[in-house]
Amino acid sequence: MTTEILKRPAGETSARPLLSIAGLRVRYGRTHAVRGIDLDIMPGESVAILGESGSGKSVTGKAVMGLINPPGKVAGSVEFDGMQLVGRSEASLRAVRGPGIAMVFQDSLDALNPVFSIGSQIIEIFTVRLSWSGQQAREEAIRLMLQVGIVNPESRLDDYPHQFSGGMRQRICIAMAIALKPRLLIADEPTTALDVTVQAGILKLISQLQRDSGMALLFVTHDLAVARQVARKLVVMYAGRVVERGPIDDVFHRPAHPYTRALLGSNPGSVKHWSELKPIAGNPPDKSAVFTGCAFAPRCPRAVRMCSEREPDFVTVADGRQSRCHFAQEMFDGR
Amino acid sequence: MAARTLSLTPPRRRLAADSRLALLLRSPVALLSALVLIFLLLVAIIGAPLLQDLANTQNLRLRFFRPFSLERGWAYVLGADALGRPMLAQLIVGARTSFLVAGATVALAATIGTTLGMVSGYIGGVVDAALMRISDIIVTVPSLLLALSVLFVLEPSILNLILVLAVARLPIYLRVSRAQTLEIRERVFVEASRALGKGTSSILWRDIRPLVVPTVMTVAMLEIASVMLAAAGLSFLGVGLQRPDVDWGTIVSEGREYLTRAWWATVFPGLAILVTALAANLLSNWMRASGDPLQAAAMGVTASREEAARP
Amino acid sequence: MLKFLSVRLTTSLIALTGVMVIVFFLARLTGSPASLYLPVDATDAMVEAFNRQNGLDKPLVSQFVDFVANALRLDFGQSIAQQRPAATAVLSAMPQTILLAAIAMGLTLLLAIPLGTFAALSPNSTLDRGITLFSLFTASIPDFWFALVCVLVFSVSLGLLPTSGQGGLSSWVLPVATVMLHPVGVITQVVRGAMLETLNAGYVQNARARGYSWRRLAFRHALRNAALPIITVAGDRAGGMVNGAVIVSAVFAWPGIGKVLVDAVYNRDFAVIQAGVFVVGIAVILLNILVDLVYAAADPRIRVS
Repeated sequence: MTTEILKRPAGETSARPLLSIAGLRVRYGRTHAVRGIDLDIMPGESVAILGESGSGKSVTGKAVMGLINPPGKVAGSVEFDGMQLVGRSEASLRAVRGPGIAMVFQDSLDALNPVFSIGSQIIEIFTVRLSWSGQQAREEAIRLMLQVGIVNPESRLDDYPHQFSGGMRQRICIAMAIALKPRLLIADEPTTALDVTVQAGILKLISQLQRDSGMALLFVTHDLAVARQVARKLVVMYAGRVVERGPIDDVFHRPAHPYTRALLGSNPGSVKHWSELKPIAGNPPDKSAVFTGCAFAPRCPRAVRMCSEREPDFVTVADGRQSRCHFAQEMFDGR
Repeated sequence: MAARTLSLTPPRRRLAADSRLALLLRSPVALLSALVLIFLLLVAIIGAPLLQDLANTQNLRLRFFRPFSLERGWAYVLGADALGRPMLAQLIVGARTSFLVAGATVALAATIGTTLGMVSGYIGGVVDAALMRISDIIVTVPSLLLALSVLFVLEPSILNLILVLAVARLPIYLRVSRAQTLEIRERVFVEASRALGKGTSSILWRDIRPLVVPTVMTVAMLEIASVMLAAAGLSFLGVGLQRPDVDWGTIVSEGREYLTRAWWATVFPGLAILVTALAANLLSNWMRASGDPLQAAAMGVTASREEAARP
Repeated sequence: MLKFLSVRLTTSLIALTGVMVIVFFLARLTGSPASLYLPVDATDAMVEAFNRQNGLDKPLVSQFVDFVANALRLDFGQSIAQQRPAATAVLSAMPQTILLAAIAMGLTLLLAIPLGTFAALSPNSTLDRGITLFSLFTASIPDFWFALVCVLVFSVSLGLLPTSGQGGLSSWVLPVATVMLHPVGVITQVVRGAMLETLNAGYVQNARARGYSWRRLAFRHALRNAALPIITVAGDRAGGMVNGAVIVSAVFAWPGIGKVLVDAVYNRDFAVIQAGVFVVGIAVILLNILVDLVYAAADPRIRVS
């Protein structure tokens, strides 16, 4: 099986991918956060990365943005619109950030500068990045705030981040991310810190903005139910590796990897009664560990001897469906 | 998914201490600083009693004997002062006093200040308010002025110098340990102890003290240098120590009278203070950095320059 | 904010009152100044007359009552040594010292902020190590010794700067450098520590994700947040510059509050010591309130609540 086929699921081979990640690795000293992942995102496509905390999903998002700070080290390839981002200088990455790729972070209180007003932070984007006049930038800031659902934006321009509710703050973060009309939006668990009721509104907003503007979306989450609301394609990560991918509803209904199946079983939204919830046995693996076989084997109910000796390759179980498991086909077939 | 563990026992520091020692051995600057301090301390403890008499031997023929000459033996290698006393011997005798004053002051201020700070933070209320006001009073008056007026009243002596400096430095320990106690007080293992009916003094000693002490130690290391500088300043102003007690500040103050004739009588004692204070500051700076997880992680790995240049 | 300031003012005034009580009794403990001002063979009658003239014959308690009553009218009595009101002696020296402290603090910040920022921008690099070493070095130099060595080098050997007194601009160089010495080291370290934290904060990473230059990230987004601890320590050190003023007066015979206070202690000039401590205490309190105001201006979270 060639990598070419792996990277281009059938049916989407026509256009060139907007973002193409190949063999991406991120490590901090001896800690391996991402252990080699491949992922393509087509223009306008919405992809969710699903994984437990520590699976490397957030680090992947940051690595695409070039936001891995020393002592973290990035290896592999991240191509955006044909341009290699790994190893590129900070100065030339700057041109991509904003109009190319933009990002929404998990904690909106932490992501906004506490000492500047909301208005000045949004206006700054236009005056600095587009050299607009203050007046023009101000008008665009008001328009943006309206677009993300802030009521009375004019009167709130001079307010500071701590004066907004969590949901409103996240809307402002989204406004700032889409200000320069990015072609790819990375959302790193944007609703995790929010109440469930507020969550739905934010998800709807992201979905709607994505559909209207035609930008691609990379949505990082640990919650499958949330992923289904915004993304069409799903990538499941475990221990810094992609273990399964495919159209999100297909994966949801017919998981082809024991880990995905376990995730579904431990998801409160997917069962009728709490007694059906089955937590995954064991703990996520140590990030400094070196694996000879499948990283999930120690926790896997199906694991046999081969699993801890040889790492499985991707197995294509159906059109656009791949799973990194020795028993992928059996899992897919429901055996 | 990992089960959340509620820690009901105070965290242990043992492991951290071991790996810290290993880190110290890997950091050349910190290791050098520690060795310099240990060397100076040994010289002061062993050398001072042996050289006491020589240091006070006046020899008017050797007035302003120039340094860097071995003609008169090792004791005179750094020259001689206005009374022909050998500088090197004087510096070694002065070292003992300087270390004694700095060490005793820090130990006294840290012990009393930390105890008061823990009590103040844990009990709160009137005791806390009163202690904080007293600490305000000490902070309001510039420390040098306070020390100057008190020492002018009291007879200059090592004990009085230590007492005055300790009072002036008390608020630092009081505030650091109080702030930390306030935070630890709310932790689960303290609440558990309270629920088990442990007494206040037992909680302070067994649960809170082990967590406050490492922070205080870092502050104390930093304070060694400050106190040494402050003590030298007071001796320089003529209210710290007086003969026969002598510390490095006293020697600078005496040498100053002949600054233009014998620079070495002023420069060498000052250099001794500088080297000691710098070693203590470097060591405490390293202690702070290695205690901070963010920086400690970075210390283990050397980042390439281009990566490092990124904000 | 107003409530906070009034609480701050009240506690400061309580502290100042405590200080005044302590200083009053402490000063009396130094013994009567009569022995210092009268000839050695002065008769008992002369001493008595001296004490009466300076109000030292009354019981300690009634001296204290008088002192408090007068202090409330800002009357601290006559300076025995200078033969003029103590308050005048102290106040006339203040502008010198305030100017010295202001210049020294201004230069300190001008030096410490860029140094600390560049150190924090590349943690553990050669530049960072160099700057850290420099800042620890300046904080480790005994300031009085630094002043003496500077006199030796710049005045005696090179003849560039005056050794003492206050004349033109050149007479300010060494006093300012001496007073700056420790604050530069300490504040550089504080700037570095604060910037290390804010440069790694989420809002700086987010701003970086919007494609801003490192200058904008460091000097606008990170520094404005790092300003809070810097302001606190700078205020603290500005108050501590009185210590530097004492040293400067001792080495350079530089006029100012340092000289007035040191002379007063040596001359047992009670009135001046009391007035001096009071005025310096008030100055420190005003400085703290100024710091609170700057703090509030720098952080909207404090300003609003």
